Amino acid sequence: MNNNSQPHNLEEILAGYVLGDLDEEELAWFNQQLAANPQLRGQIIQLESTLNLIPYGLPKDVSENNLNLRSQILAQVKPKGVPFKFRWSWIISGVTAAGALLLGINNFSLRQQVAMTEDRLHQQQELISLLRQPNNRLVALRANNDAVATSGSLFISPQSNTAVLTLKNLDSLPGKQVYRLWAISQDKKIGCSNFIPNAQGEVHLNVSSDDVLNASSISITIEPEADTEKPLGQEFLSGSYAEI
Amino acid sequence: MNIEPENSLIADSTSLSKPTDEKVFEAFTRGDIPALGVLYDRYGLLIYRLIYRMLKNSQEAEDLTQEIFLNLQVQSKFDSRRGTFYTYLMTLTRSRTIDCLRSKRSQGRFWQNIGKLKDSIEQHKSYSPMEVISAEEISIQVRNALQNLSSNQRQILELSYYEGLSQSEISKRLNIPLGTVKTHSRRGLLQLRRNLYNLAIQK
Repeated sequence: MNNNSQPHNLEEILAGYVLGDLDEEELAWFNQQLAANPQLRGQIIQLESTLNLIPYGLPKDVSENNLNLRSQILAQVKPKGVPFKFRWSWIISGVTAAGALLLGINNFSLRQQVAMTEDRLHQQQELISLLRQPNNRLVALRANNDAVATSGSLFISPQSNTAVLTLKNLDSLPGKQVYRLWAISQDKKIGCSNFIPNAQGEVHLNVSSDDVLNASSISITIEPEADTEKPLGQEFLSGSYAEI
Repeated sequence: MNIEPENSLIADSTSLSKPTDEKVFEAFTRGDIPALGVLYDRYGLLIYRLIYRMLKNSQEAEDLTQEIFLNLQVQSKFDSRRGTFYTYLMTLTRSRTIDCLRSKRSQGRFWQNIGKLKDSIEQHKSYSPMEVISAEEISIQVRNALQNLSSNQRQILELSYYEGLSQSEISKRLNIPLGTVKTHSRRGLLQLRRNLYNLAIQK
């Protein structure tokens, strides 16, 4: 219940904790409350439980096509710790079970790979159709410090309401730090997206935010955590949209 | 409890006092394979629907459902002292599916909640109502409870739960202020708890 002497509504803060949306100040207050009253854990448990009931609200139209799944799962699983009369049967069963399990997992990752390849192909096809459109613009991004090796560009396709940010030579960041893209319009900076580079230090980010499309320039900062509302880190890469 | 494989829990599953999920899972870890069938009968379709809702691909949903159940034997970290099997299973499923979503989507999505989700598998205790009420009754109650939320509350909770979007990403997508998104999702969850109190109540 809300308590006027408290800066926050405790119930809402508990819900925010379970939903993972507390900001730093709220989290500090939450931790104080929890330390003072460990029984709050019970409420968190209830809220967690409530949240996980949500899938029961899903429609039942996807039901019968996976009746087969039950037998497939049971066919692939073998008991552990049950004594067997013959050592050889134990070994053969073990190898078979492990083999079946590995095949199952392998099969899943193969499907994942195929799906990912299809996704990539689809992305490339989308990119080609983007590139063919008129009125496209390309904004070069430059480091504000010569020591920074990062470079990249922002490709804007107003007709498709899409922008693509590509960067290379980005360092990976420790802890909760993230790179954050800001759209600047009339000296106002609006946070648009958090991102981290892949293992090769590259970024390929689709941005459909109107803020980016309508901005006059963009900048990239390193932020101490995701979703900061104002840039806390130093700007190290920026680019202005060319006048048309 | 000492259940031999030949005394499968399936025999008990139709009786009035169904064995708890925890007891069924314990029997499975002791080698009672049909006990996994009991768990599948209780939650298999729910898990499949959850994954299908998140990945929107029936083949991947089938494969991942299989993986979730098969991995219960290989690398289960479930500890009944820390929480119920139901919350463990749902959190594990959602966490694993968000991993898949992340690997499928293009660079740039930062899944702020994944760490927390994974922690919660090991830390949080929750209470399963599954022994006293049928899945059908739960579905009806949950659907009614979701319908009783405002459309904004419902939409934001579902975007957060099924698509793993951060509040900030939801704010961008729906074009409403971040503060409003947080208020809607928090109050929506609290409203759900009030409406589903009998399901989520601490025993």
